[in-house]
Amino acid sequence: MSADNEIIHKLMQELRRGTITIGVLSQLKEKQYGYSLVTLLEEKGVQVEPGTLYPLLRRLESQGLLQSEWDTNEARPRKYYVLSETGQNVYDTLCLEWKNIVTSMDILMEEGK
Amino acid sequence: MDMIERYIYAVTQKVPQSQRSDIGMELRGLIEDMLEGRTGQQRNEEDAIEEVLLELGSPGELAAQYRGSKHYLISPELFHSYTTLLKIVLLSISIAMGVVFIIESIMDPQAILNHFIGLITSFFNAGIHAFAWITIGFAVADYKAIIPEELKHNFKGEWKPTDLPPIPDEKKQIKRGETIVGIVFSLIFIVLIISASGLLGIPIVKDDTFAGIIPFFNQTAINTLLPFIYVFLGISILKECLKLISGKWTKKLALYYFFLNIASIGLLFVIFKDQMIWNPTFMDQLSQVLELKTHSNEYAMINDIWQRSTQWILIIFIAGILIETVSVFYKAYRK
Repeated sequence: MSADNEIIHKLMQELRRGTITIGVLSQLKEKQYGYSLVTLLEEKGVQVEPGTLYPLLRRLESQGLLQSEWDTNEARPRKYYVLSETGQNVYDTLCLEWKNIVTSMDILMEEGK
Repeated sequence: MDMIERYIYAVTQKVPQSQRSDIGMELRGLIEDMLEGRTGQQRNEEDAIEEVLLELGSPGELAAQYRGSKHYLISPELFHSYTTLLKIVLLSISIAMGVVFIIESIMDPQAILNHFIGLITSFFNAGIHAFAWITIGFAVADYKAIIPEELKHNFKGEWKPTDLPPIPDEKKQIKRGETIVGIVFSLIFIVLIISASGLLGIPIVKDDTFAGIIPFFNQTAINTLLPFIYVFLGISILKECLKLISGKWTKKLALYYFFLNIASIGLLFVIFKDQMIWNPTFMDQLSQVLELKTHSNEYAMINDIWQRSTQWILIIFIAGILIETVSVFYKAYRK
């Protein structure tokens, strides 16, 4: 059984990797800093480790999907991220694609029953 | 608190300089936020810090996440060619050194242990050299992205079925094994020339014991001619490599062979110039061992054979190259 669990764990990791990006983009219509995003996603049942999320945010920024600014007025300086215009377009397309995937997967799984 | 700074330092040391301060600031904020989420539970601050850092994972892994893409010394596209070449070269070195070891052991069986130690040390020396140079070569090629198209054509992004090369006519196919054997032989020859040119000669047995070897070659001449010999053997390895890459006999390959063979013939003339390469005292040494008189018929006969064969070697070499050139053109142009 433990071998099975290991395989499941690896497959789940692969599955999650792609969904995290969409999840992150979905929450950035309004600006968020890294840790607030972790808690926000967690509240909605999406587990992301900060060690994964922080580098991901930087990567999305360098790809032009996010914009960032430092806020130094608060007690501790925080880097806020928000969707750029490109990011919004990319997110919309990804949502459509995701829904297509869900529809076809549903059909496949229904047939398999 | 000291532990947090140490953690941030460990991470930022491993990310690009330009992003260090930014990532450092962001990390510090993150760790403080994470700590704050835990202060509700009454606990020792040190323990909380440790827990947070453990959750973030090792600095190495976190830094790797920040760097993003993976870095390779030799990328997966080239790894197969790399290991193939390593195997060929190491195999050739082992065979050549094994041959040297056997010859030395026959010549001087008492010192077999010394020869064996010599075999091991020189194998390690040559092996490490070969390994290092091949690795450096591949790493540089990879870094500079100078990879021959033929080696990476399987991995290019854009690919059309029409790109598939036609299956070569069976008569025009070049067998991989054949070319690898060719390369192995050239490499063995190089090692033999470097380490044991004095051992190539006529073995002398006197009263059932081995008394030495009368070398065919003139050691000092060999040493001065070494660069030419290297280039000559290098060209023959290059020819095999071209065959390996091409995979079939083509007009282009034939043309390469034509020019490389002209260069080879030129080198042969340099190497055999004035017959300097041959041992000048070969006949003297041989007649001493065989106790021949300089004016005897036997001496004249052996001397005649020696003179003729040394002259014929060059002719045979050149004839071999000419025949090869003609046959390459024949294979390339026949239907």
